[in-house]
Amino acid sequence: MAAVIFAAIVALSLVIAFMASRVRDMLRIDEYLVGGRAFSGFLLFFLAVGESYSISTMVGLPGGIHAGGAGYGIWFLGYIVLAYSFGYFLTLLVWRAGEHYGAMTTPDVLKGHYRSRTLEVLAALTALVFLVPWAQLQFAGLQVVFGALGFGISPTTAVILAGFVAFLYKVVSGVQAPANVSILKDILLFGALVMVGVAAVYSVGSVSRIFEEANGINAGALAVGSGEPLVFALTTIIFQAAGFYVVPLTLGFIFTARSEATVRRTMIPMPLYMLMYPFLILAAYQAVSAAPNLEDPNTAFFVVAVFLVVSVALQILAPTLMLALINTAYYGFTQFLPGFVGVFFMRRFTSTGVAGGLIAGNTSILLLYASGLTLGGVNIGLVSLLVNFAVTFAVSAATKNSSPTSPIATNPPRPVREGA
Amino acid sequence: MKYFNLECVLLGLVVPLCGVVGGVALLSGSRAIVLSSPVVYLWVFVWFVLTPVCLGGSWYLFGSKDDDEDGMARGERGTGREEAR
Repeated sequence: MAAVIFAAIVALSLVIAFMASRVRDMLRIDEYLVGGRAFSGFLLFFLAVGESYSISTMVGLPGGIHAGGAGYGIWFLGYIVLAYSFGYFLTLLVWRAGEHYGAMTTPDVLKGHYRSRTLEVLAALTALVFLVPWAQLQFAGLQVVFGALGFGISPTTAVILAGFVAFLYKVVSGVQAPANVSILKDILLFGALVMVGVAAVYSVGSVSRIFEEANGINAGALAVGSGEPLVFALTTIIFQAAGFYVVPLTLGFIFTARSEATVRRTMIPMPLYMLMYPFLILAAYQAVSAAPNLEDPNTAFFVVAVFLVVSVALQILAPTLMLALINTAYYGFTQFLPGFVGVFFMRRFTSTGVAGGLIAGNTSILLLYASGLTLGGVNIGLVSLLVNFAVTFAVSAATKNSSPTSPIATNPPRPVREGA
Repeated sequence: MKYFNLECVLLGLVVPLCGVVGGVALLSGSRAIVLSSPVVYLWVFVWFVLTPVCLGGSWYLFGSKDDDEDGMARGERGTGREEAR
């Protein structure tokens, strides 16, 4: 049953993806990568949601709560909701920089503004290195999902197949395919999580009993606590929220918007989609307190729910803590922030300064990561970001640029284009 | 320089940031269950709704007028009022 539903959904999404290829001229790179910068707020919303909430983060969150207590649940929810506040002020400048420099990727923006090939290569390398834990996160999530579906194929084969399907989408339709497929996926995801949460409540009896039982099993389950876990949660919320809109993946969907106003306005309702998370939290806490017990006559109706709850249980047993992979990726992603602050606001930042800051930030992460220092719980990415900013300022002051590029925030916005 | 319109940044960024971070810091030690939910989770859930309210307020009170003056947002507000362009 689950396999039939799964196959039907994949087939439907492939049809949607192939149909998307008719919309755009795929031989033009800007049409292919950023949808000709013509997406409406509606499509942008679904693409943004689709890119932000992957199944891996859904599966990873309960595992994080199980291993790290409420602190993990809280930083995860807190950084995403605040990312939209930062996004409201940053995304339109990111979009404007993209349009101004004809940029389609993070290195493109930095190269366009600072006119430095070295910085471009350095940014591309940083992005590549820190996309590795991100990819690992997605593949770990896929393995859990395929394991739960029980197709009897090895996780490796399953992941290769999934990668092939994703590659097909991208090859035939560029960014238009994931955008169109996102509409299907985002609606299904919201519905599925609501069902999982309802199923969890149904099996235990009441909402508060789920939390009371979890509290009985693990005294730290409901409270973040004090000291290092609290400091880690708070610093991670700030650090990752500030970095969300300079993540290379995020830039890809910002650039698809048709105007600054579109991208800015789309930020406003985005946190409402997070109203699915209370249902996932319910499922997560049910998994903390008891093995899921859904094999009752309602199984047919709750087939999606059972499948997801089982996945959740498997993730808890999986060796890799998936939420830690999100932290690792952000350690690097947010190091782009000083470079972008220069693009947006700071005339005095030079290419050498930004490159030096990026190197210093990355080195700081590697050293802190390898040393295993906890720094009283402060997120090591945040410490490295401060090092990065300090070096960027210092080196920029030492290497004054005789003809600096005007910051993007001082450029007048261009009028909105007609059509599309 | 509408990006540094103080009220706009206060309402859209400072209020949610202080709300989420401050609230979590204050409620972090509590195991109380309010409205069937652990109180620190409930606090973060509330911001899923309050953040759009702050951003929407920021847009309608301070942002959209500037955009109209720039002549950039016209006809795509999505309210239907500007459809006649």
